[in-house]
Parts: sequence; structure tokens; C-alpha cells
Amino acid sequence: MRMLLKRSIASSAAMLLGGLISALLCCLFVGFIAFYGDDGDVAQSDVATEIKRSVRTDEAGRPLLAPTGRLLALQRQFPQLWYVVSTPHGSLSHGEVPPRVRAGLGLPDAPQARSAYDASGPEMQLVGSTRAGDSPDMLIALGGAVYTSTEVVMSLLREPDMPSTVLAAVMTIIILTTILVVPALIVRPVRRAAAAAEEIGAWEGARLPVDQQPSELKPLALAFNRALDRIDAATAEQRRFLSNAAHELRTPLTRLRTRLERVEDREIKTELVAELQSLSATVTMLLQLARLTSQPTEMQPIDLVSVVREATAREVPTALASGVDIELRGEGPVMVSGSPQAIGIGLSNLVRNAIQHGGSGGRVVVVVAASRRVSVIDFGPGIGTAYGGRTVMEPFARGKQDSAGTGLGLAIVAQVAALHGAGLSIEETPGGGTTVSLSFPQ
Amino acid sequence: MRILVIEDDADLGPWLRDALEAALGGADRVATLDEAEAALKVRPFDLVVMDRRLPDGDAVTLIARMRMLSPRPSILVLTALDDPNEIARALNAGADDYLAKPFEPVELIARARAVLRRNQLDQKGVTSVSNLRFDTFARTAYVDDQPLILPRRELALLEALMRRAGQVVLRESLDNAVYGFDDEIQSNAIDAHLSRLRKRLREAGCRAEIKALRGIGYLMAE
Repeated sequence: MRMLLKRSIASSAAMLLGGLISALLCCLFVGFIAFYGDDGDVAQSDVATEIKRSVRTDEAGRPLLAPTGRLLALQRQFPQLWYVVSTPHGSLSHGEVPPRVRAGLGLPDAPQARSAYDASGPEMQLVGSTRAGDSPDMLIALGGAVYTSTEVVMSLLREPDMPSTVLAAVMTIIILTTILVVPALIVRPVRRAAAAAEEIGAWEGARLPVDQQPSELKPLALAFNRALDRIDAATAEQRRFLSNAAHELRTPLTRLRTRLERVEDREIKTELVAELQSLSATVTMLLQLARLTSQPTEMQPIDLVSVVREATAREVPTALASGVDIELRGEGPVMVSGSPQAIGIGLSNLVRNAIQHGGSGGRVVVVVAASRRVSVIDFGPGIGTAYGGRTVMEPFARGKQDSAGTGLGLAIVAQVAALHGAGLSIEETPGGGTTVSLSFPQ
Repeated sequence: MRILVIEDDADLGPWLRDALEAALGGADRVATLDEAEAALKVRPFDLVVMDRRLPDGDAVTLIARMRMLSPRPSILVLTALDDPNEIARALNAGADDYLAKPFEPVELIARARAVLRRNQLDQKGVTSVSNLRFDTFARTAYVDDQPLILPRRELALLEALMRRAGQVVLRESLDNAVYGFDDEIQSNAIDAHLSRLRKRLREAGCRAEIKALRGIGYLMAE
């Protein structure tokens, strides 16, 4: 049952309903038989049919019995069975025919025979039964055959008559309708609600429409909307905090930087400016990392080549200032689902790292492959020696020789990769240097 | 040249005014939105260098109003808000460029010059980089005041590069600048036009240089 519920509430409910309806119909059927059931009607009808199959008439019109196997079996089944077959020209009989019936013989009038009852016993007993359909001259009177309920059902299954066929068809239709329609009825509003929830995505302020929900789903929709309210409030609070932090950190840094312009000693000034720039870079990257980890990212279909080209273009002035030659290879469009801002920030960090670590190589190559893989390649001393096996993606991990870096760049890139479900790999460039690659999923 | 500095920081404001005055020409400094509006009513400015967060509100509202002024000042936003959405908001409102705080003084002057140059090209139709001058109305480039005869497409390329001198102009934007809707774009044509343009400039003794960045775009450098 638990397994069933886990699979689908709707189909379990439908199956349960279907089962209950079938059981109910079976009970009604059996009850009907038990109460109004077989006073001999069904059994005698079966026997009469079989008798008719067994009876021939000779040239004089006298009935002759050539019992079928089934008739013999019925005769064995019902030892009390008796019957009289009469035609205008003669009759034959089997078993102990009650005298009253015998007295009535020779009256080939069908209606009389059909409505003859033996009322002598405590219960009224139907004695005359079936009149053979296509030969009005033949009358079969019989008695002494009564089915049990099971036998009635079996008999009906063996030779279904019109009402039972209709009954069976109606029952099948009801059960099938229950099993097919009920799940649809239950599932459709749930699906609609789920689709509405899916639509919400990253768009802030979007809520599930509560009025359109069926009453069962209303509490769920309301609770869902309240949860969204809390998330939105937390996100807004976080955003406020981050922009306040950005403002409060950057303003004094800017003030400091302008004050440094007044320092007379060139050597000290250069040193202090470098220190301040490094501090500013750390602040910038910490804020970027915080924003990436705490703010929802809106994904959209983007061309990786054009996003990477824009990010690389932003770093060109830095590259030119450092005397580094920078180049992009890749033919667009290479479509991925992602956030252009986040990918741009990640790429900027990778390119800046490459420019910084490229060192003597003086060349940085960015490659966007059709397999949705972006690689930033430098030809410097390589990352392996600098880190001595330490994980470089941890925040504040830094190479030994590397005093200028903040140690946050790769942590940001790793965060961008995680947001996009992308793989991040760091390899040695063949011939020396570092190749950092991001592989985006389809 | 008249510059308006809108900055409430008591330290940074005067410094900005002095630095910009020393590099570009006369500058005034105000500390609030109200003062800025009053100043803008009194006289026209060529350049407005402004902070986003001011004591009496977000200066992004002022940007839209400044766009309506004639002549329109160039607008450079200094911002401590580095949220990409905030930067996009300022640029969408009509700012010409933004510079994140803290910035290098050299960078500030370079950006100020760049936005002024672009605005000058829009309003007066003339801009110059080093000894190269470009006149949009006359559709002519001059090197040391000597006119340079350039074919239509090379002229369009030069204009696109000069408009964003000092910044990388992406390949796509060059395609858009040179070709109309009906033109058939050939992938290598831009490179061919540019190499001819560079040759012509070099031969005319131009000191400004067009740097090619493979796969990225081109950059006009002094």
C-alpha cells in the first residue's frame, strides 16, 4: 500500500475505487441471485435447451430422444430431474413426472404449460418451463433441477444471455472509467499547480495562483507562497547587506587611494598603491563570491562564444598593460544554459589569473570548443610547482611565489562551475603552463 | 570645458574636483541631488562625474533628467555598488560609462576622456585620437590636418573604432557598423578592410594604432 501511494495517489485511489465498485457489483449480483435467485429457472432453462438439442421427431411427428453428452451429465447432476417432451403426435418423458403434470399432458397449448405451477408444497415450484422457440408444436415440461449460486454464475458465463452481457459491459465500462478518469481528475489540477510553480523560476515576486486551485491544494499553495515570501525576504535582505558591505568597504578604499596621491616618496607610494590594489581586489572578489553563493542565478540560453568574447575583451586593457598577447579561438554559436554575468565573472577571473601567471610566456589563449568546453591556456611556469598538491580551488589558497594574487579567483570559478553543473579541470599545458577548463553540460 | 562632480564624500569630492580640473579643465563640486539640480540649471556642463549613493537619494533618477538637457553632458558614474544589476540600471538610465570604486586616478581620467570623445563625436561630429582626427559630417579623416581619402567601408570601420577609442570593439559590432541589412557579410572581409585601413594610416604617418586581437576584436590605441 505504501509503495502504491508513493507511486501515485491518483492511480492508487482509482484502483481502490475500481476494486470497491467491482466488489459492490459482485455483491449485488450474488445477493440478487441469493434472494430472487434460482428457484430452478436458470437450471431448468439450461436443461430445456439441452433437451431441445437432443430431441428429433420421426416421420409421424413423434418425439425421439438422442441425448447429448451434456444432457446426460445434467441428468447425473440432478437425480430429481424429470421432463416431458410432448408434441401434437406423441410424447416422451424422463424421471418421475408428477401426476398433475401427467394429467395436463395432451394439452399442447404453450401458455398454459409455461405458467403451470405446483403449489402443493410449502414453496411454490415452477414446473413447466421452456417452450422450444422455432417449433411451437413442441412443449417441454420439466422440474427437479436447481442450481447453487455458483452454478448459476458458471452457467451464465458459459452461455451468456442478453441481460448478463449488458450487465457485464456496463460493469467493465464503470470500472475502466473509474481507473482512467479518476487519476486524470485528481492529477490535472496538481499538474497545473506544478507547472505554475515551475514557471516561477528566478523571477522574484511570482506566486502560485491560489484562487484557481482546488480546495485540497489551497493550503499547499498558500504554504508554498509563504515559503517563497520568506525566501524573497531573505534574498532581499542578503542583497541589501551585500550592497551595504560593498559601499562601506569600497568608499574608504577609494578615499585611501586618493590620499595616497599625496604621498611624496615615489617608492613608498608605489608600494602602498600595490598593497591597496591587492586589498581592493580581495574585497571585489569576496563580494563576487558572496553574491554567487547567496543570490539566485537566473539561467537562460546563451552563446558561450559571445559571453566569453565579451569577458575576454574586458580584460584586454589589463593584458596590454602587462604586455601579454591575448587571443580567442572558437566559432559560435555554442549554446548552453547559464547566467551570462556569472560566466563572465568566472572567465574574467581565469583570464586575469592567466595574464598574471603567464609570466615570461606573454601569451594567453582562450578556446571555446563546440563540445561546450571553455579553456584558458597560459604558457607560464605552471600551477603544479606553485601549489605543491594543495587544492587550489579553496578560498585563499595561493601559490608560494604568488604574492599579488588574492587566492579567491579559482574559488569564484569553482562556484560558477557548481552553479552551472559544469566540470572544472586544471591541467598542465603541453610544453609548460596551465590550462584551466570549464566543461558545460548540455 | 566644464565638469560637474557630484560626490558627497568630504574627502573624495574635493579630490575628484582637483584631479579632473588638473587633467581636463574647470570643475565644480556639489554634494547632494538638490545642489546638482540647481547647478545644472545655472549653466551647461560637458561632463558629469557622479556617485550613485547620495544623502538625498539614488542619483540614478538624475541621469534620465540630464539626458534631456541640451547640450547633453557626458555622464560617468562612479559606483561602490558592483552588483551587475545595479551597473546595468545606471547604464540603461543613460549613463555613458561607469567606473567601480576604488579606481586608479589614471583610469578615471582615461574614462572621462573616452566618454567626452564619444559625446563630442555625437554632438559636434568631430573626434580625435593622437594626431588622427575624424569628422562625421564631412565623412573625412585627417592625419595632422591632412585629409585622408578612405573608401566607404574603411571610413565606417574607423568611425566605429574611434567612437570607442581605448576600448575593445568586438567583431560583431564592426560587422554591424560596416554592413547594412541587405549587405552580404563575408567573414574575412572585415579583416581585409582593416588591414588596408591600418596600412593607409601607417603610410600617412598616423601615431594612433589599431591593435588586432585575434578572435576578439580591434582596439584603437594612442
